[in-house]
Amino acid sequence: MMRFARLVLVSLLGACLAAPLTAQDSTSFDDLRPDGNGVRVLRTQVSLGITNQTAGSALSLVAREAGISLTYEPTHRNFQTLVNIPAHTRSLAVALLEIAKICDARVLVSLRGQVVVSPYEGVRAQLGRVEVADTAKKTALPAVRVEALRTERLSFDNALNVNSVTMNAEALRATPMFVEPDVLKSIQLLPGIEARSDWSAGFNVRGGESDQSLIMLDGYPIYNPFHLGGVFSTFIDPAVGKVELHMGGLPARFGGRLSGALDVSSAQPTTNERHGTVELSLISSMFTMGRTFDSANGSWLVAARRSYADVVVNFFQTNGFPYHFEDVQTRVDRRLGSNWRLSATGYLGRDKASGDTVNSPYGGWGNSVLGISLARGLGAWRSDSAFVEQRASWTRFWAVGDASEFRSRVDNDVTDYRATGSLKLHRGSASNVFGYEVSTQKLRYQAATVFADLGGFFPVDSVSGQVHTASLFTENTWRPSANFLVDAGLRLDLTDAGTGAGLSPRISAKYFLSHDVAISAGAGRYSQWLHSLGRGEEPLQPFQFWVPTPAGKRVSVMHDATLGLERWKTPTQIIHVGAYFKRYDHLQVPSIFSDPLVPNDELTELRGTSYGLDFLWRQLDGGDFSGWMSYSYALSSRTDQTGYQFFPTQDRRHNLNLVGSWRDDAFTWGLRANIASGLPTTPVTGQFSRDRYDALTRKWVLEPLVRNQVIADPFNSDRLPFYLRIDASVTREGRLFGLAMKPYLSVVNVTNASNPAAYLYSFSGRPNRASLPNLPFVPTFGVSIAY
Amino acid sequence: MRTNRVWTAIIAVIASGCVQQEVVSPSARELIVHAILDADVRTQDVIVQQSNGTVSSQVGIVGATVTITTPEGTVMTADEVRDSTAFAVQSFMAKVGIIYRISLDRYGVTLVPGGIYKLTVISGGHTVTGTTIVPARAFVATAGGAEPFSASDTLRLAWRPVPFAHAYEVSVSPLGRTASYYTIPDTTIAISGSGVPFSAGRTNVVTVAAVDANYYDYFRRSSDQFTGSGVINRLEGGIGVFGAVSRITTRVLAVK
Repeated sequence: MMRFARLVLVSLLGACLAAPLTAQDSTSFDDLRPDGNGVRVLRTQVSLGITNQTAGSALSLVAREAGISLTYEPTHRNFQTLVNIPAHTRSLAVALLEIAKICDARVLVSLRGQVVVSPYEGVRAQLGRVEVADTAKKTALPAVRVEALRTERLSFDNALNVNSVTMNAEALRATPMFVEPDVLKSIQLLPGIEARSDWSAGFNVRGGESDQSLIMLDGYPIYNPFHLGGVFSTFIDPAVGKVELHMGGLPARFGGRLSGALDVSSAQPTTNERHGTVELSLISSMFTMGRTFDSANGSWLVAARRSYADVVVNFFQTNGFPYHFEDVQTRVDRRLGSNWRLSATGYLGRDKASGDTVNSPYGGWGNSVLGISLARGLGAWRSDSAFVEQRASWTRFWAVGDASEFRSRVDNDVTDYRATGSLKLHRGSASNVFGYEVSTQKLRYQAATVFADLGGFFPVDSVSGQVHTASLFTENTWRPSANFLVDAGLRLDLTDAGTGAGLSPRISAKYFLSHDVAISAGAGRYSQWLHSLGRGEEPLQPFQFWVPTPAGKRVSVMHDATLGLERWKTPTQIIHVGAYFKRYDHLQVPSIFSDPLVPNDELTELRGTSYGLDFLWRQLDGGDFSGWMSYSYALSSRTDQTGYQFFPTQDRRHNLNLVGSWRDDAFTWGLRANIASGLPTTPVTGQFSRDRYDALTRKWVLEPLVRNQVIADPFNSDRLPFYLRIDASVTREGRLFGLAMKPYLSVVNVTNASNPAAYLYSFSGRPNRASLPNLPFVPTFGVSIAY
Repeated sequence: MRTNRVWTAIIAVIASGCVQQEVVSPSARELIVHAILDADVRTQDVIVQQSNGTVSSQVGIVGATVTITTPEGTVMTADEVRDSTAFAVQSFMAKVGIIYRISLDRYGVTLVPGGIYKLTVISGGHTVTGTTIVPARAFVATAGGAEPFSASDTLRLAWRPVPFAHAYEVSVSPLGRTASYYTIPDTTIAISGSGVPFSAGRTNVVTVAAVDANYYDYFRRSSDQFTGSGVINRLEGGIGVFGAVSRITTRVLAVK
């Protein structure tokens, strides 16, 4: 009878926990780490010593001391183990782990702050619900009041998120989409982020050039994560769990980029039954599948996608659209014993365009990523607890374009080998990370043509080489008081690409004015020795063509200073204001005078500044409405070696984004409005005919291929018109044939606003200019099916 | 067939909705100067034109003062002449009938390899200047008639580096047809007989010339509509080129 009562109580508790967790927060229970897994209360300092008490009593004592509730089975034999703990001050998390270690139990914590202590063979906590494996041991557990703690709140409480934004998959998917959901397009709606055009690969972070952002999949670099020249990202949306975007004040573990770091984390499977989604859109279909295994000690996820616009168009016209892309992404996690964890990430993506004959132009490009991580807990080695992690990765980007009929060819290959290791030590209110990174990049870029050039999109040049880099870094977080958080980092980069990488100190601090208000400040130095040959002012940027800083030249260096204010108006409403100032020295950008005859002249140095203000008001999901309003003011200027000062192409002065998602029973309505001031452009004021001297006939002839050349005003001396774009979407949730279905309709640029990305001039007849548009009015639809 | 027409119509409608055209007024007012010193000839021509931004308005101007200063300091003043034969006239060509011509014999000047020559053009209160370095003379005449050449062949050329040359230009001129030009930094080239430049059934003349840096830069890139950059202009005060060439060799091919 008693067992039955325990079973009922535990089941009720599990159900109570599971309901809100699955509805609002898919974060699972996980093993507690000494830093409290980001749960602020678990960093509370407790002063106690325990002598010859049972583990159960000790747990009660600790919980009472810290003022928390925790769940454990007091009658279990493990909790009868006698415990002796020396008296000193330690964090609540460390105190719980010390007791759990003695009584052979594990401590599990959810992001909401729910704590469960159980013998190893007993309770398994996973997937937002607590299960009891052995019904014979089920027991009545004390009632627990659970207050949701969101990822954003945990980050506010415990991290120096001076310039970072973390968004889970649900928030990302709330934005209206173009054809299909896309992580990188959603990111561009955040303050401080913008792109040259709707057709550009890459994005600009706080006035920086588009090659200054480090983009990673599960922490492994990926060099050109785009399809169709930047229209879609390579990240398969249902396989994305969350994204973490750093817009400045980059932690010391991130090196080699000046402005931003975007880490896209794979989704975590949430049940031990095979599950996933199938999504069909106008141009592609994708599916994901995953599950946990071995009592949630492991999980795997596979996602794949292929576009089929080529198939659809071919139905009407043979080889009418000879282009498609495809991706496969996978993630495997496995816990090995009690202390080891092995993770692996794989990605393979490819774009292919080809004509229908042997001599037709063809092109292809792709990304490959393979990364492995092995982590181990070292117990209390030289600290309250220590962890060591070793990562290794191989990344490759390749692109080839060949138009043999016109004797033009572009070939680009980047291969990145990387090994990274880190040791994390947690000591009460402080934590220290010491790490290293060694990497080699093999780079090759070749573009040749019989024409004078390849239209500016592909610089005619030939660059190849290897870059070897060794780096050491340390990040040290210290909480001297409950209201004050300091993070000091240092990075040393030694690279054979360019000179001047050296030491990059970074420091940031956060002060809590109240429970819900914090101010922060940070400053740092950053260096970059890989650069893109793609010119930022081109409205179409199909790729970033990566080349190293030429030998003998200085690497790009940036110093920044940031200020931030964050306020939680309610548990689901955040206001964030951030200001920044960035100074660029030796900024390496593509040279318009680059000569294939001259080695190491493909880049030229600029100097400049960027400063601005970002504002974000955000309503977190969970209610009927979620979304955000972001506004950015930015001013960037650059000065070239002749002293000419100009506004770089990414200098968008004002940028306002309104993003909202409303739930109305089975329907979810999405709206996104973007109003932005125009980007700089170079006005063309005329054309002239370029004559050519013929050495054979000694006569002047007209240039045979491209006879008319432009006459332009000074570089970027004018601006494009305001950009206005309103997108809308509606999604209906329902069930069909026992499957959860989400058909959606999305309309891009509802008002069909003319948003020129650039102008094409013609002065040979009646002078006119045609606008190269950004995305026009495009309705799309699709369906997502969960199984 | 009908579905093709429907599909084409849909694309046309979408495309027409995407691209907007508007009339603009060109505002450029530039002096355009084309001058190439040829190491093998005794008269040097300079073209001076005015443009108001449209190609059709690009016309030669009269009354300009054009001088070339030798490394020794001799100032040679050009004569304004009307000579339409200096141009391979084509109907779409910008109007050019006025040439500024300098006779080296009049000044007893011989172009010095490696010497720096300065061009000055003054017109309507505007001054355009530029400098160039003349490559060494290196012309080697080839004996014999036309060599047979078929579309399946590949023409491979190699030549010795020419002192003071910055790069080289290879041209393929089918008689009566438009020539093709390759401006390259190397001293070798391979051109497939099946490619664009050769014209079957005709005599094709292949010419290799050494060129200076200005010439190379001016012709190696075309302008980019989106960025307003591309053509590398080394002149001060105007647009164009002041360069130098020196013919190296000529081969005549009878292309089958």
